[in-house]
Amino acid sequence: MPSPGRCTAPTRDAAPEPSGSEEPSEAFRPILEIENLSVAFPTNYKEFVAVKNVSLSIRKGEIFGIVGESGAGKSTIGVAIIQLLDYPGYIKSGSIRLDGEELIGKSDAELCRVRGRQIGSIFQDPQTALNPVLTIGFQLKRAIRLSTGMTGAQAKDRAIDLMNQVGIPDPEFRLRQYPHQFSGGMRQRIVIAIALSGNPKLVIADEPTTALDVSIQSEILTLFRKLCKERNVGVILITHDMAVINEVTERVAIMQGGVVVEQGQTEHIINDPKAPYTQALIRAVPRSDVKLNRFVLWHKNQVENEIKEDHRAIPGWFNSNYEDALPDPVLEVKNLSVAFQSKGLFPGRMKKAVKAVSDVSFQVARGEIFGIVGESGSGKSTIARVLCGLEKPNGGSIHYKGRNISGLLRRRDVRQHCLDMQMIFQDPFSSLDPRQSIASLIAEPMKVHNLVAPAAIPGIVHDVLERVGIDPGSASKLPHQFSGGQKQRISIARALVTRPRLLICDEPTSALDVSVQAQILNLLKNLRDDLGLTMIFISHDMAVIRQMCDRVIVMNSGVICESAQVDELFEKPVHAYTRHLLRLMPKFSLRTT
Amino acid sequence: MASDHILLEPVSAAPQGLSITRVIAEFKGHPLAALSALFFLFAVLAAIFAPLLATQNPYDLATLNLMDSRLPPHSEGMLGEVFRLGTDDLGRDMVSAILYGLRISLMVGLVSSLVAMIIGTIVGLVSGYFGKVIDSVAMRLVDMQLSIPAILVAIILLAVLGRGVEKIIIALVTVQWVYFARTARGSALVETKKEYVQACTVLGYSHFRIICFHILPNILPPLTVVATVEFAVAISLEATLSFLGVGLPITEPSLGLLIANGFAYLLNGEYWISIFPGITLLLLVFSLNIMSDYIRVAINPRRQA
Repeated sequence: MPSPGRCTAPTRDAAPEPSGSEEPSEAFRPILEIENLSVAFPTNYKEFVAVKNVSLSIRKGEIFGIVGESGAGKSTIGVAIIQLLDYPGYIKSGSIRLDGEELIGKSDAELCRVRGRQIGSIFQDPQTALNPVLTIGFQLKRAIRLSTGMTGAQAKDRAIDLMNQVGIPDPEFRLRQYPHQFSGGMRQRIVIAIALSGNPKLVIADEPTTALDVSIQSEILTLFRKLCKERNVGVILITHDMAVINEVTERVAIMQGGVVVEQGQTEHIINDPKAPYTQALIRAVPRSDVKLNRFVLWHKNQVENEIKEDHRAIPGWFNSNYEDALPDPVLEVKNLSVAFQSKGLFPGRMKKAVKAVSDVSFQVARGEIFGIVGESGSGKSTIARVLCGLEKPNGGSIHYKGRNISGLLRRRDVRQHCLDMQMIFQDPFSSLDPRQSIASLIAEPMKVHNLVAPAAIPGIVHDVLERVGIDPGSASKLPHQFSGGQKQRISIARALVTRPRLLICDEPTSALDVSVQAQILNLLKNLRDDLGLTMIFISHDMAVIRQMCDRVIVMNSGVICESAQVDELFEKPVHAYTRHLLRLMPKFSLRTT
Repeated sequence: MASDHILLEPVSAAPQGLSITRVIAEFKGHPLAALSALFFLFAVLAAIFAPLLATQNPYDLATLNLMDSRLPPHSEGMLGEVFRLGTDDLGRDMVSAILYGLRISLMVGLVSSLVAMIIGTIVGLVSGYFGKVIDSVAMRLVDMQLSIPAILVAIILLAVLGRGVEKIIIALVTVQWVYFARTARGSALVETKKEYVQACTVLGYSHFRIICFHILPNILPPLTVVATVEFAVAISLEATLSFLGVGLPITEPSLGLLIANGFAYLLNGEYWISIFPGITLLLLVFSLNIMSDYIRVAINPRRQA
């Protein structure tokens, strides 16, 4: 695969401006046609075909969605269209036609004229999409120069014009700033401006809002819709979030394992899916309008028609802790405050302090799932870390099982008291020690705290692995050999081994696919029922909170905005911020239940 | 059967392999690396079996014959033996002198880099894990030492301690521990922030347990690479110190001392006294550096299998 060569700027009058009116038949002409595309990656063992015989067509002025879970091949299609596949991937067969012109087989120089000028790209991570050592103005003007040949004052005017279109305030001043001085949402807008600088006919957006908060996400999606209509560009929106697809796209293609399972109008597909995989995918999405008992799962190419709850006899050892009476409420937090201070030069001199959590009070009753919801920076993860002893609070008290534990969690006696408060972390890829087998990871807490006779440990490891759904025969394997969802199950197994009474789940499924998320959430609910666990569930996803929790608090900038039962919160929200969050949440309501 | 009850198999069937198997695979694929490894192995074996391989014991002054001094290569000595690489100014057979010199160089290099690794790793780990005051103090110590040139530190120490193999090792350890400390601290900082270490804290493990059983195994790869490089540096540093005359005594020469010895005779045209130990030293350090380069590439976790 040839590496991209140097692209030179064309003469000034090369790029045409988008024309205003078109005849009706023109409007429906496809801007991009993909026919029988196959992309393969040769490996040591055999060739891995990432995309198999995919055919799509995208019209001018429409937003076309490609949905699938990880590994479905949707990003590969995006990259293949602009022919930037990572070596050794290559396009095995098929044709890609942009406005009638065949793209496969073009030389690198010709492709340079296509990339950036006729096809714009927006990638996922706004943090790394911009060069951190160059100003925004430099990067934007360079993109303008390369695609339209404008230089100097003309380019600057165009840059300011683009910034206005994507909604960045005070563009003259901002042009001189560096990427780190912008927030994530602003950076994504700048990337969109760069993508649009060449007046492209087609824009490929690969998960543009995944890394952003829900309110920023809704603004970026509105921006997409506006730009699409105004400039009449076709947009390919690649995502795994069905709710986003529902909000913004007109037509959608569902992908699984490199194959397009179904495609058509978004409305039809979501309300009347024909393929079983699509049906399962839609039913696995957490619904925000009604609370279901369990998620419906996808198993061996069939949709489970009944929602089965999984109750199995728990081996004796696990049960033995749960007969003790637990005080109600289990956890009482009063006036908790946590502030992070940047250290001043001299001790005693107070530098600026970031108040992560201010004066938060709540109670968690026995046996309930307590939810904490908020956007990033609201302080919800900080609360979890303080409860577990990873951070020290600056003020307030925490009473667990009747005893005050605030700030004392390193002391041996307090540690013993809190051994049954465990945490499930967010990132499955870094929450397991990469050098230990999962059997030793799970056995370690029992060994360290002498919870059980050493001879009984392998048996317990076997039982707990089976209970969370991992084959006990693979207990000697290392964490990197498991998928994200499996790793999260192993984390749950490790937490269960100390026989917890209180389980704190800090966004446990944020990094997982929708169907895997459904499995893990079902597992957590089953465990709660079987073992009588009390849970604190933290998330930024309102729909998941609705499905999982009994009572919820909403946090904003370290303060509790509202606290209510979950149905009441969603149907009759009191605080303005809660209403704001609910309004911005991408709606995924089905016409038929 | 309820869907939740599916027993999931791990995703990748073949394990990615231990570091050592990846290293061997990498070496097999690159002839230069394999050649370096072979040479290094050959040098180590020659050093170990030096007493059997050498025709003469260069430390035994009674067996040396001054009449045999400064004979060119392939010349015959007084007792009829052939000196393949000539003799030096004391009448020592160059081949034997080089073999014994290799012994000392390798031994000094190995011991000093190992001890420096142990000390440096402990300091770096503790500093990276606990942070705050301990980290500041330790790193300022490291900075202070790094601001003084290594050779100067070694010379000052040796001037105080005197001559001898143990004193050289002490000096080299003092010079080298800082590199291990810096690497260990950097990796420990990264690992400490990761969620599995936080999980260990929540599970109530002691600091000692977390450092020894969880963080240390995960920072070993970069440390191994630094160790290989520092091994080569130790050998060259010792050679430099001996060349300058502050290292080993003349009766137990290392490669550096042999080179220093022959320096005076180079202009005379008696090149063999300096050049042959010099070539040996060069090849040794060269092969070590190449090996450490390829080991670093092989154990890099970001490479595809």
